[in-house]
Amino acid sequence: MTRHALIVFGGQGRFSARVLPPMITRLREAGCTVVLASAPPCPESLQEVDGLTVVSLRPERWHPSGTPVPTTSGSGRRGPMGRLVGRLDPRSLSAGVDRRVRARQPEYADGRQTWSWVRASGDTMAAAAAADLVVAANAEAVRAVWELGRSHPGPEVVTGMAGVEGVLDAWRRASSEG
Amino acid sequence: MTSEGRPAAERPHALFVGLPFPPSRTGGVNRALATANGLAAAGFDVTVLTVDREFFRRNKGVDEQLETLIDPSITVVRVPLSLPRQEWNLRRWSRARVYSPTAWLERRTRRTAQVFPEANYSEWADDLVAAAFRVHRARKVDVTVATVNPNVDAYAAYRLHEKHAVPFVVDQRDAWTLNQFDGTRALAEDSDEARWERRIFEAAAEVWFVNDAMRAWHAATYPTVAPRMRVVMNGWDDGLVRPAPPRTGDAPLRFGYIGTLVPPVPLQELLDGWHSAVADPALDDAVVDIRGHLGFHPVPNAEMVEQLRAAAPDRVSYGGPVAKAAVADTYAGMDALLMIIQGGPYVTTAKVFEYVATGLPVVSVHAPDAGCVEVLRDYPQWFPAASMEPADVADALCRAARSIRGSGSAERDACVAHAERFRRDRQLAPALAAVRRIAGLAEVSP
Repeated sequence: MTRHALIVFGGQGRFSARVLPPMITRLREAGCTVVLASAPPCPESLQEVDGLTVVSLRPERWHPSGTPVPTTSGSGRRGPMGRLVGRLDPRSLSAGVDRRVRARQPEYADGRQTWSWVRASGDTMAAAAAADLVVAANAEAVRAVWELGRSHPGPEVVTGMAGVEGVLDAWRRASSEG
Repeated sequence: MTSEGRPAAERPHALFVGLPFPPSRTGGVNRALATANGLAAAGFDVTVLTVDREFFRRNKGVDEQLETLIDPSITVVRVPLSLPRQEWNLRRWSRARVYSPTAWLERRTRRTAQVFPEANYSEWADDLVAAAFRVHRARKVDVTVATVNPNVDAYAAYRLHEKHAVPFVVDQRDAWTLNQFDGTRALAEDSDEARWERRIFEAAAEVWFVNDAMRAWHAATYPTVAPRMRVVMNGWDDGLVRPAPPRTGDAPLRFGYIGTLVPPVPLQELLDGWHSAVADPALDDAVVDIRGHLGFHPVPNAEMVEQLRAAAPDRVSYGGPVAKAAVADTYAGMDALLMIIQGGPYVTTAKVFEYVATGLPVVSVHAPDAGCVEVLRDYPQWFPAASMEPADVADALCRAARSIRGSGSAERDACVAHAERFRRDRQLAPALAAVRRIAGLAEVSP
């Protein structure tokens, strides 16, 4: 039985991108079709993966150089008049973490951005509706996949390679028992 | 029956507390299994408190065959443990965790640390202690042996001692407050962890360590406990490993590694040295065969996968994990073994005991003062690299290759004879005799 997997990859860190090729290979070995919804540019390491369906998340937000165009400032986002809206309490722990991460890594695509890109991507939402498994490949994709799980009760929703292995193991055990 | 529900004629009852236990494939599982089996052989009825199988399936990986090696007289009580921090099923994540992961983690850590200050495993503390109390209520426990890590295992033994005066032994297999890799303090002297370590050690009847460097550090740190500290080295398990047959024919030499490779093991240093040596005539067509898990977790460590893939053109292959029952046969297919470990005198590793038991030549790529040197120092077929530099590693590999071609059964027999003293049961015997004494029994060798 062919199963369908959707991998969501938010952000573009080289370190976290390394997890994608073995994850895709592992899912295909287990008989899954794989769709990757990735914040552009698509990690170089994936250019060697034949026949991979890649959905680019909000490419218009990215400069051709591959550098993301900032869409948020601090813990909020810019409204139509350039005013900060939806800003967290700047004294909150979350806002502090956000500031520190952004200071270290200005191109960081956070969980909020990834979720808004996923929600706006018809192809990604269609893939989620057809999926048996949705995987958050890195931390920036966790919120998006968690929200997908809330709106789609069917698929398994997991994080990381451990989640992939866990679900494949559960499927394997279910098929051997049934 | 006595007032505590125990028939007077029954064997004494030992409680063994250890998260690493079959079917886990984690480090320390062989020592835990041997200790529990050893307690049974020493005349105890043994109850083991460990974690549920599902925990290992989800977090650490399993070797189902190990369960068949548990002494059938042992009662195993499995206490469920879930580690929310390692939960990969996002349907089990709360909104607070998804939207404020750092705050969620801090809250969680603060709450569980109030019970026992150990990351992740403090989640298990209350349930483990409750289970220990239940075991004791059902049948009085005469002595507890707790092996770490996690250190919460020792916490359960401590609480049972505190409430019911059951004497206990801590097998401090891994250090908690000491950084074993560089010899510095891992946790401050005034930290909650250090305070708990002192409290547990001071209440313990004995504290065991895997090598003398570990014992000495802790003896200096807790001088009042020093007289009750003991070195219980690891060893090789009869039946799981045996001398490899002498090499016959002129097939390409096979240098092998069997075990779990855990960062920061000097894998790259080995591969660089091998790359330098591979063109040497001594290594004509020789291969490196890496077997075992890559990293602690079921998912292979991505960096190591990449390192090994990149070394494939140098005739380096990765053959995946080996089931415990197949280890002896796998060693039999190798001509020399690669000892690649990180760390200094505090790190012995259990692997070195298996290695010497095979009687195969051993090539060492590690610090010159590594704990395993205590075992290898007089081993007749030991080829240590003078340093981690590629030229020195290459030199050790070539010396080993030349020696393999020039040696026969006499050299193999000398190696096997050297290994005899490191049999696990020989290492454990004095410690198990001490456990009998602590339980108030006659001190006889098991």
